[in-house]
Amino acid sequence: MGCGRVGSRLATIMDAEGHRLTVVDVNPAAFSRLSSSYGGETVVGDATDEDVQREAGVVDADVFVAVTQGDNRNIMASQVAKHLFQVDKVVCRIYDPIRQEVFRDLGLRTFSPTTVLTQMIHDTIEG
Amino acid sequence: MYIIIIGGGKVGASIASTLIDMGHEVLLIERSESRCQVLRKEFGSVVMHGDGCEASLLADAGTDRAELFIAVTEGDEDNLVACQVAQHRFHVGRVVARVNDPKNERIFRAVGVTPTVSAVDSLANWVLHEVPGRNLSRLAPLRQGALNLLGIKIPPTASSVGKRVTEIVLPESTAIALVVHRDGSPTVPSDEVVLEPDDEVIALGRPEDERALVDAFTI
Repeated sequence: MGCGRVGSRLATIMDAEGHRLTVVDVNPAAFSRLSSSYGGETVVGDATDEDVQREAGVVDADVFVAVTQGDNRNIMASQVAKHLFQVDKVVCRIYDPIRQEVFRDLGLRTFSPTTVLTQMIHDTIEG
Repeated sequence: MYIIIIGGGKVGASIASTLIDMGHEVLLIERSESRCQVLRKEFGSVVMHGDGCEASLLADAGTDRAELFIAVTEGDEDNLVACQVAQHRFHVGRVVARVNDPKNERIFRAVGVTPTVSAVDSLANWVLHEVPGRNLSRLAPLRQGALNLLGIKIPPTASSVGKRVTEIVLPESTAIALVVHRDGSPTVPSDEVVLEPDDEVIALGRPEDERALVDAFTI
């Protein structure tokens, strides 16, 4: 969910590795970020919507990844995938570090770019 | 009681106004600065500008001592997340969430954000209540939606017409509260009450028993 820089890059890499991919984005123009070699599916829609997830085949998915710019959209879509479609591995980007902790404790695999990047820059300076 | 409201639109402002009149300590958090300026004219210092989903802002707002957290923004994802942050980070015991798109109610329930209030559903129900020939009206959810208060109109063709209300075989765990006659007079169900066409039975039941309950009066 989310065909921005991270989403499109991840989809292109994992598609090349032989996985079956579906990318969902509200804006069809976003799919132009996918590599021309991308062979997976694309679905236009808001993946916080249960029906859009159904259309995207989330019910059969092993992994769901939410990487839109909106923390709350990512969280809601991830929870729909986890709780309504029983997806085993749900990965969710959350910029707000505290929100990231809350939803990590609630069972989402969460990433906070804020925390990760801060740590990396810190280590670079200190290293 | 200290109550935090997220979303200072018409709904949030109306709730705040009532709660303040009741003597509660209220904090109204609104994301738009221009809307905050309007709200401050009416409510003064109880208005806080900011993103009610941002955990650091909720910490500043003293969310850990709030007894009730109400999320009534127009974004379902914001209401869903704000309530969970309040519940799990700040241990607020009671949350109430507005659900703008009724089909999102399932996910709110699944993650334990209840009760929810759906303006669309409530409004639709009241409008449909006025449509002739419709036998069922959902009047109100009770016990966080575990029970529904229903109005069941008796059609002239129903086999229940002419029977005592106590003769009707009801599904288990359902009950009749009142029978409202065509002239508007309410009566408490008893052996004396005989059902007539266009009477409305006010009944209680779980959502899964609704069909059987309606059928008992309308078939």
